[in-house]
Amino acid sequence: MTAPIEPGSSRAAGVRPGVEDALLWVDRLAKTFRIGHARPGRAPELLRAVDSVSFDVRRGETFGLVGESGCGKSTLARCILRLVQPTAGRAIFDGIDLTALPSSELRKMRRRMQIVFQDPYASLDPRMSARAIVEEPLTIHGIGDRAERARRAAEMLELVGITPVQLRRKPHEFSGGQRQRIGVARALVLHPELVLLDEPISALDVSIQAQVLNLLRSLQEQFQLTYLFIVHDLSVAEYFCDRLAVLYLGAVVEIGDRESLFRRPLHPYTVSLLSAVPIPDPASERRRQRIVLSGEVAPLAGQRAGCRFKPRCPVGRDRAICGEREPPLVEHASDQWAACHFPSELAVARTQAPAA
Amino acid sequence: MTEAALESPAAVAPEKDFVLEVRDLETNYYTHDGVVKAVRKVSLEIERGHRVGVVGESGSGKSALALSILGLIEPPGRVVGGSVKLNGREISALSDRQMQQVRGKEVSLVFQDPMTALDPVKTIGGQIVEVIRHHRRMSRKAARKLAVELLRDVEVPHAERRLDDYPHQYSGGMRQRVMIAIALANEPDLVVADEPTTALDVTTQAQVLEVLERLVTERNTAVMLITHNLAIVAEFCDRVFVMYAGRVVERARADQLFARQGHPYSEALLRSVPRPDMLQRGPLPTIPGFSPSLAHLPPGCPFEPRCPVGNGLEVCRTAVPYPVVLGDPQDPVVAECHFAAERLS
Repeated sequence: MTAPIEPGSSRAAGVRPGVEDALLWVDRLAKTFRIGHARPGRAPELLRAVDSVSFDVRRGETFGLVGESGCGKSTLARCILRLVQPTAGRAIFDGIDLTALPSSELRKMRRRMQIVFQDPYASLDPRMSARAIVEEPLTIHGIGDRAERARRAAEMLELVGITPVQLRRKPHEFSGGQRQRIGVARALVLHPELVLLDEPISALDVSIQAQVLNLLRSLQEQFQLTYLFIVHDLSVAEYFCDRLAVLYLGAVVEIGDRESLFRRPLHPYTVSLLSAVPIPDPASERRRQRIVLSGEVAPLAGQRAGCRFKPRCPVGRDRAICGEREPPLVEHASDQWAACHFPSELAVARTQAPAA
Repeated sequence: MTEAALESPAAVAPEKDFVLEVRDLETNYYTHDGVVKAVRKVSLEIERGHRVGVVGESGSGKSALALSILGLIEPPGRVVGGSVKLNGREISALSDRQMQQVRGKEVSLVFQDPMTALDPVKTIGGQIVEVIRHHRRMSRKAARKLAVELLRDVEVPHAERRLDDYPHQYSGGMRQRVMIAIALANEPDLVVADEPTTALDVTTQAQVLEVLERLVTERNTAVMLITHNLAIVAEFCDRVFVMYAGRVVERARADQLFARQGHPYSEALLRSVPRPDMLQRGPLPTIPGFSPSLAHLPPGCPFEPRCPVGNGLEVCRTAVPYPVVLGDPQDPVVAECHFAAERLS
């Protein structure tokens, strides 16, 4: 067993006081990939997919990782579970540093951390029955005897809305929403404490998305689950998460609780991201102010000075300091952190139906 | 527009200029499970320069409807009935070759995934030039010049230089801009866009929609936007058709539909989406169950088993609701629900 983290160790920006008691503490985690071919006499180019990310997740909380594709949110989550080996930093789960665990210990820890994947079509073995799919994690971790495993799998499936008559069906006999329910049952049958939800509803129809979100929330209450929720849909993030980190090119640009982040976003990227979300109501839609960002997320390799958002930033595009100094993540409001030289300069009224 | 119409006495019964008129279109897929009725006698029309949203979930028949209109249904599917008029001309009986002359010229398409729609071994410029020259007598050089202009129109940076790049050298958002450029190359009267921004990030989605909106406004091009995303419809469309189980179950002006829904399915669909402008917390209203199989439809209303209003009611279980026409006869709301009149009264 690895020694637990000593209290009083230095705390990175974006992390709340008392982080030692958090269920998950991600401490300056980083992942660098080499890209391109190394040429003689020249070091290979490095891509910082995850660039010193820190946050903490309390028990029973839902923590959201939001950002556009390529922002590193999936790589970050995989580094935390050590499905990908991080280059630097620590991921501390219940006081134990996962990045330092030998693989035999890590395997035992995985029982307490499970993952639900985005694509319910690709993540379930097409040859296995629903019950066998949910039983498998129990078998792998050597839990119970055959009868016990069958009973627990059936119970868990019933809880997510798969009826006993459907237990022997194969994945293709289920709808997308039902398949995702099976994926959820499989993740929860081990009674994990932390569940990583990697875009669990983005492949589903709108009416089914709501069903799965409601299911996830009721299971969270029932089993006191802690969720790490990777999501690109900001409406869903706002609805579902307690606390969020906004990632841009591998780094946290803003972090805070749901209310402050959505009501008073500080970072121009957060503001632009929120303003780009269309509202399903033409009346609000007409009042919505939009900031359409120019350009695209372009991964920056190698050395770079200044702010990573500068090339697209409506605030700092032409300001010298933004090109010279990388803004540190600073607490600007109570427990709301942003990495920006000019926080809250860009403000957009987020429309709400006016009180008639 | 409506104000001007009120002033002019000639506009009391305005002669509408329809780009597209679809009547009782029917498309079946002949599968091992039986006949899947993907499009069941759908009627829809689009006025010149208007933007129409076709909303539905997977399996509602919205993509099959688009393919049927464009003559792109492939076996085991077949259009078995109905009429499609483009600019007043019947096109449903045209041969494949004749349809090729229509597509890309009078009507064009933007697909969800530009990577599968673009040819990976041809340059972007080559593909645009090809589309232009397929429909117009134009020298290669002139077509190439036009291609640069089109890329500039859709705001591809360094258009001239990027003309000779291949699709994989473009990002997802840039590829979708190219698709729009190709779709608009021959100044069609109608663009059919099937989930054009679904694969894109929200900021890229906003960019692409903005480009599309500007271009179709400039050219007075009509758009049929097929999507499952109601928020995009609210942003982009002036008229909405809601599809369920192969039927248009409700049609209305966008502002009307978002204010009040004649069909319980439209209402449920709208309520099940979290609103980004309101901090909600409670459970989301859901639609129980899932869409019926189009091979084995229930005898009454196809939405009855999931309907919060009609579930279990005799009339809904046994009688297929006919379209109820409500409101302004010039611009009515049409909903296929036994309770539509009550719901909108």
